[in-house]
Formats: sequence, structure tokens, C-alpha cells
Amino acid sequence: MAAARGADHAEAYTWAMSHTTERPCARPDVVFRRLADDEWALFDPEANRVHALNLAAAIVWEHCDGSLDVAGIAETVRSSFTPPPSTIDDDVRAVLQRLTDEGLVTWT
Amino acid sequence: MDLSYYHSLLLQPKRLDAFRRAIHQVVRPGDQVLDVGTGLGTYAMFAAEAGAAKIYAVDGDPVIHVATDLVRSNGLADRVECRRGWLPEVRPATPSDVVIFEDFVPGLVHPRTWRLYHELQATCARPDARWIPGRATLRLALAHSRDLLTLPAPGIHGLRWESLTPYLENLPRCGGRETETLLGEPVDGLTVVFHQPVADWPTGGRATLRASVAGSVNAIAMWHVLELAQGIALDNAPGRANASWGHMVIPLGESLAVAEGAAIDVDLRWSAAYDGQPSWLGWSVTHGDQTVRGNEFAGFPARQDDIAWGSPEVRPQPGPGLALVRDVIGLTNGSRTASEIAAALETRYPAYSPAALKRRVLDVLRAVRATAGDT
Repeated sequence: MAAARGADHAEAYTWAMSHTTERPCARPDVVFRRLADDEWALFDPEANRVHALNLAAAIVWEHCDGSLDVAGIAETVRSSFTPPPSTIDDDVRAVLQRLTDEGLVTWT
Repeated sequence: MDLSYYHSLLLQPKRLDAFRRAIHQVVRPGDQVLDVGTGLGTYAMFAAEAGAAKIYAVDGDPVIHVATDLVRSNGLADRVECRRGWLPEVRPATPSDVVIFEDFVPGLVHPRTWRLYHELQATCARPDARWIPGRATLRLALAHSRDLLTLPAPGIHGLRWESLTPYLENLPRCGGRETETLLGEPVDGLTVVFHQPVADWPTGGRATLRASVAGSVNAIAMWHVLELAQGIALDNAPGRANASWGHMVIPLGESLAVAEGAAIDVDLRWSAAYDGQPSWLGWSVTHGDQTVRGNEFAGFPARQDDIAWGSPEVRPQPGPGLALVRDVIGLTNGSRTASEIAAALETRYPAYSPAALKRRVLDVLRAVRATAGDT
């Protein structure tokens, strides 16, 4: 699940605007695991689907515990990179949008 | 399978007696019977004894040659036909009235079993066929296991071992005869009725287990009870004599301290693969406000490309191993010996010595012969 780029920006931004105050929460039955140094995966047992994650997406997922909103997660991801990529905010929004579309997170 | 395995089955009189009684109850004179995974042909010969007109005894293992000898020496060769091979290739020309199968895994629900029954129902059994066993129930019980996989002591051998934790905590495994103490009465988790279409088989089950004593629950034990025929059942509860199929333990990762009478909710769920067959087992165990979850997927060593190979959507790339298999099969036409096939491939696979390449060719041919079906 790589972050969206370019043409997806406007859609991701619009989507994020509708989730400014809510906090994403990972579905408890979804399995998150590290497969290798640079590979992470989510397994959705309901759909029997595996979603590959990059590092930024993995960090986002790990913070979908209902305690942080989108801005808070973006800040956490930003602090994980030195220097932080300029696209972090867009990347986080795109990842959360994808996780939501796939039914892997709910919003509280 | 080594012949000693099949011989060991003869030393389980309760199991054999139960199957013999069930076969005599279910098989009617004149029936056509299919005995899948026949081994030494024992149940096929019981079916002949019960009056079946024709019995097909099928096994992919070379043990079928021993079964053929036994059938002949028992004077049953006119009715019992032993076939070596895998279903569906070696299925009888007409569907059978009775199907016998017993090679279940302790946890009962398994893709191999699902695929086999899918094939049996579609091509080998009459719509009104009778099945032995007729049904099986998966039973669950709270357990304390003394044999769970645990991390090596911190720093042992001068290395860190913590990364093993997710693998160990998500790996159901076979239990030992004396290693599990049950802390409550078993409860039915799910029941499979073998004459029902596999699409209708349960893909999970829920049960509330009660602790009959206070203790530390670190596993859920599960095993199956086979209902061979009316009033004839084989129960594989841990520690029970003749529990031939054994049991499984699901690790909980962290122990639950339970009081006598405490209720623990267990939810088992197999993911359904692209065609409906069960794949990864997930579990959720709740005691009060504490929930422990696990999933086999998390205990499976893999990278993304390993996982992708399990999908029918993937476009596989032949690596060196697959290319060799392809080349060996491409040269296999009945006119070349294995040595000639190896010799023809020597220039294409210079990393192998001629002797190693010959061994590899033989390995490929054996493997292809042995994995072409579901029994």
C-alpha cells in the first residue's frame, strides 16, 4: 500500500477534510506484521487479503489506536524520518483513505 | 509413508473395531464403496466383509502394493480393486454409494480435507452417498500446556531471540499425550457434516468455556470427535487412550488467570481462500475485559513474494528451481531415461555437477509423481 501521489492529492485532501477531528482505529482482527527489514503487511482475515505496506504506511497503522487524529499521526510519521519528506501529510492522508476504503480502520 | 506407520494403525484395536462396526452398519449388500487413503486396505476389506459388491481402495502411497497383497491373500481380489494414485485421476468410472476416509488433521478444518471432499462430492460420490465418518465435531477446552514453544532465555548463546515471539505466539501445534491439563469440560466448537456440500461447511465456531478449577490458562486445546455411524464415535480428547488422531493446542501468548467457574469466550475463524477453502486460522479468546488474539498468518515465515505465490492472481516468474522443473518435465516423454534427461540439461545448468544434476532430475520426477492430487 504505497502512498498516493499527484493526481490523487486533491481527492486525498478532500477526504481528509472530512476526517479532521476524528481518530482512526485499527480493526482488532486485522493482523499486522513485519515480513522483512523493509516489508510490512496487513492481513484482513475477513476478506483473506494481504496488503503490503511501506515504512510510512506501517507507522500510520501502528498509530491507528484511536488516540491520534490525522494531524497527530502525520506529526508522528514526520518525526520518524530525518529529514522528513515534504509529502508526509499527503502520504498519511492517502494511506488513511486507503485503509478506510479497505475497511481496515474505523473512525471514532 | 514408512510401512511402520501403517503397521502402527493395526495396533489400535479401538479404532479398527469402531470402523469395522460402522462399516457393517452403513454398507449394504451390493454397494459400491470408495476407500480413500486405504493404506493396508483394512477398511476396504471390512467393506467386502459387509457385503459390498465392489470396493475401490485408493492410495497414492506405495503401501497400496502391500494392500494388494493383503487383499489377494484374503481372497477378496474379485471385489476389492486397489489403485495407486491420487483423486480425481484414479476415481472409479461410476460414483460410489459409500465413501470411507479417515486421514483428518487433529484440528479437523484444513484446506487439504476441504479440497478432497470438494472433489469427492463432485465426482466420486452419489448424491445420496453415505459417508464414514458421517460427521465430525471439533471440541474445545481450556488448557494449561507444559509444552508451548517459548523464547530461549534472554541472551542465551549470546544472541537476542525476541523477534521469534510473534511466530511462537501464533503457531497452533500438535499437543503431546501427557503435556496438556484440561481446566474445564470440553464444548463443541463446530460440526462438519460430510454429506453436506463443502461450501456449506462451517468456517469458524464460537464457544463459551467454563473453568472447572482455578488455574492458569495458556492454551486452548482442540480435537475432533468422529461420528463414524449411528452410536459409534471416536473421541480424541487429550490423554485418552486410543486418541489416534491427537489434538492441537492454540497458544494464547499470555496466560489468563481464571477462577473456578470463570467463563472464557473463544472465537475461531478460518479465512476463506479464493475458492472458499479454509486458509489461515485466527482466534480470539476473551476473559472479562482481557482479549487475546492470534492468527496463523502472523506465525508464518514469509516475505511478500512468498505470500503472493499463494494467490491465483499472481503472475509467477520462473526462478532457477522452477525453470529446472519445467525443463525436466519438458524432456519427459517416455523415450528418455532420467540419466539422458540430466545429460541433456548439463550445459544449461553448469552450477550442478553431472551427478548432482542426475539426483535433482530424479527428485523432480519423484516429487511430481507424489504431489499430483489431494489424497
